[in-house]
Amino acid sequence: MPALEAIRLTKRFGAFAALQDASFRYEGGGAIGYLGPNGAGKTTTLKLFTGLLRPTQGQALLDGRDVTADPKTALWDVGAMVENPEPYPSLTARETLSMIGEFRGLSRETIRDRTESLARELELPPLDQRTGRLSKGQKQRVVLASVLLTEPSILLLDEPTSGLDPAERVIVRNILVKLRSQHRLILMSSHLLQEVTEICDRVIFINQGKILLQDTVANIGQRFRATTLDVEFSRPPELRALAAIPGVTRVESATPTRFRLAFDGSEEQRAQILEACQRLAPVTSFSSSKLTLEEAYLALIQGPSPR
Amino acid sequence: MGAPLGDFPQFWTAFLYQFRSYLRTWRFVGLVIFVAIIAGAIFAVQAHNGVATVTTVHPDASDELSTYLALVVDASILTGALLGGDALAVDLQGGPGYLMLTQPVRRRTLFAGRFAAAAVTGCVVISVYYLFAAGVSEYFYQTIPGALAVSLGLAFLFILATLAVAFFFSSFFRSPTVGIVASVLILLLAFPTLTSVGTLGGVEPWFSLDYGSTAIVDVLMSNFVHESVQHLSLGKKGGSLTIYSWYPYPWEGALIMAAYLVGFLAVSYVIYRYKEVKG
Repeated sequence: MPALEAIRLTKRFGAFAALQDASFRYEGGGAIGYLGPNGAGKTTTLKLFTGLLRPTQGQALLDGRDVTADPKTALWDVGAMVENPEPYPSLTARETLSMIGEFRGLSRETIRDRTESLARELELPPLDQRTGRLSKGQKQRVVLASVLLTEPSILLLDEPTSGLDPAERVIVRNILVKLRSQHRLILMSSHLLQEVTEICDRVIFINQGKILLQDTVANIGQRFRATTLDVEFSRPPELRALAAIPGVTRVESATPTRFRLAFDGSEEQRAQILEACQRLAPVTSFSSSKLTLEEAYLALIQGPSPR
Repeated sequence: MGAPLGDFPQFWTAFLYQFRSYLRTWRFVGLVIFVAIIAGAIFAVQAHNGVATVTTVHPDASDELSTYLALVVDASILTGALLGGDALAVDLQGGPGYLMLTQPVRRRTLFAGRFAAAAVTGCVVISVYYLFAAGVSEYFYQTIPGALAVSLGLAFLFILATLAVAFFFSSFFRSPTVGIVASVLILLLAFPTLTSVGTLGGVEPWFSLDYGSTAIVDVLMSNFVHESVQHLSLGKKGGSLTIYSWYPYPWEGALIMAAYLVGFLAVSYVIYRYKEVKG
């Protein structure tokens, strides 16, 4: 069963602490979103997990093996894409994939079959073209193919869709969702909350080198739930009466007849609020939305503690 | 996945793909063309002078070759610096390094593969010069002296030593360009200066790679002397100047080059092994 674990992982550059006492452990399949602003410590963490950096203190373990002490064994069943990896420009995409496959002991037949399969799945550029002549997005897809080639149990991905166009993002997102369903363990950093919501089932929030929160997306949704209700009336209702509806925590007015009501509560409470609105003035339309990761992100990174 | 693959198959993979990569670069093609132009031009000039002139000036084929190969040291320096100056920096500055250094391959394996590929490529380049040299010898003297093979062996050793020096700068600097420029400057300027300082001070410059490299040509000289001293009288007041000249024995030159190879390679490996990729 794939496992990745950080034990009081710390990285300092002089006086600057890029990562402080980070601890987490994940085992089995699933996707973990690693969220935080630029400079939060996300890439530092991934570099520590791939041996590109050595920890000042603590340990990064992959399948129970210390990456710093024995990187070859620890990374054997791991596919990683950290920062902006690039293939050798004078090698073709096919040669790049063959080289990576040979490093990992795959047979030539396996490399050939998987290369063809990945070329179709990832819509890779012509395989016999030198990678130095490819666009940034094409190079990134070749690198992603090299990560997937060995079908690793653990994937460490640093903003895997940045630099891709919308169509390419959809392809990569679908692949990651498929990998998650195949019980691979994925740790991916991202700025795209919507993407994390779609791919990941667990989330770690990090800022200024410190882990602020780690939980399942579902639990974070419960904890940071901020349900809003956009209501449009046929005539302006009395504002004070709106604010006095039981359960309503905030009222924002967009126009004299359109309001956004925030409340902390259940579907039942939403129905009661709508009924109360109807009593104040005829409701011509309404819509509601739930903000989960975004609300949590803003609350943790920028705002006050969770409500 | 099963147990990790052994280091040797991974070394072989690193070597093969790096070698293939070198062969496709304009740098390699340019070096081969450069060496061929130098070697071909000297050959052409001598052929124009005629067989009689060349064999009169140098009755012995080895002596002729010691003159013909005068530029092999400079060609080797350029080759070593261009192939080795960025071999490691390319990893440590990011880009391909983020792909290669995140693989389950020990850095010592990657390092060895890179060095072996650069060494073979460098030897291919210098062999072009020696192919012309063999042609010159055959054309003018209808024989190829055995000392040419010894000279070639020493030239290969010198290529390895220059690569080791270039690898050191490549592991030291993050920028590939700086690695190449520093290697060229040190190999072309600093070492010859070190040799000159030693000679002027009356000390055999056994500590300079440049001094060791002269064995490549000296091994071909029929009138080889290890040390010569010249006393010059200066003016009417009776002042004098003593000029010392040293020429390394072939074994001495080989030892100096081997020492540089081992020393610089060890230091550059340690730097490469422990350097972090901060980006």
